[in-house]
Amino acid sequence: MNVRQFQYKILCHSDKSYRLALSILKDESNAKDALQELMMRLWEKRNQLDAITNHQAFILTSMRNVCLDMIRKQMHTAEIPADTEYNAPDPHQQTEQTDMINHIGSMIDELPEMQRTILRMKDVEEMELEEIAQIMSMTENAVTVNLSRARKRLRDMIVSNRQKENTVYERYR
Amino acid sequence: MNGIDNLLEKYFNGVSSTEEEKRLKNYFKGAGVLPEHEVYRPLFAVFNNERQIKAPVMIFPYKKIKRPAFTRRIIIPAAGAAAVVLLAITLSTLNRRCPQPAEYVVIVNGKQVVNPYKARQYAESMFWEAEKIVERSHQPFREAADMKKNLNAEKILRETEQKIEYIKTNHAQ
Repeated sequence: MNVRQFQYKILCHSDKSYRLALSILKDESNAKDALQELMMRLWEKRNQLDAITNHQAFILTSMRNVCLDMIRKQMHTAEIPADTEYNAPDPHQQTEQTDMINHIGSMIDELPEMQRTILRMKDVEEMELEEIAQIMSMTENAVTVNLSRARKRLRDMIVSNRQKENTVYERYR
Repeated sequence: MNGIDNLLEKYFNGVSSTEEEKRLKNYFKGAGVLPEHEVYRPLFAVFNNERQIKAPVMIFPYKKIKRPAFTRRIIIPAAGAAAVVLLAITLSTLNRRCPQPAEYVVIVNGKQVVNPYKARQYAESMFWEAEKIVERSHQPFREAADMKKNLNAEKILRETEQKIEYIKTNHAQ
């Protein structure tokens, strides 16, 4: 694979790879490092890449592995268990956090890594369940279960947040 | 809007199709979102926003491949071909000067003959030539022998005496 083929077949997936890294690592700087690391590894093994049929799935799988390696190395194991309650920011925080979109973005980041990765692959990248299953090395059914859990949890957080907002609003009205 | 409620229910259960998800996204992107659905609008806005995130420009390790100048592209292969031809000629000459030892080598008039049939033919012809020479060289001796054989000393003496007698007689008269 020469430079042109590498750009055409591999680098075109940089945006998706970067977003995936951002979703897993929740840090721009680390996500950039992960992307750089992945692309350097792929460039070094560029002669073996021709044999791969689904480049996107391969790259995203590799990106996830690089990110998980980075997390392991940095011992950033402050992953929140799936059953942890989401503590919505109090009204004061919320007034500071005026951008509701950012707020929901941070809610997604509170989800377990597998759930938020699947959620973003489906809803942001609009990938098919089959491809997500391939990348995550699981069955389509398992993907559906994780996706459903992630979305329901997100809905609960959003609804809970809205109720708290309303309570505060009623109190100060 | 019962249809949207159903779609949302399917969406949160993770069983909505790609088409249904597109309908939901378009609904929340539009201006006609019902108040009871407003709470979910930021969720779909987040997905849309995250899709806009681009990978940073990377410092990539590959080196730009320099195409050699036209003259260099022509001269280098031509010089290579010339070198190969020259080498072949040199080796061929050396090979002629230093012949490999053959099983059957005969030197004929300073020339090496490796073909046994030709060598034999040549040897036979030379043998006959030599025999002719020997034959010719013996001819005078043979003639001398014949002459000696034919030589009768008594007859010659008698004839000589007769001649002397004849001379004496004629001289006395």
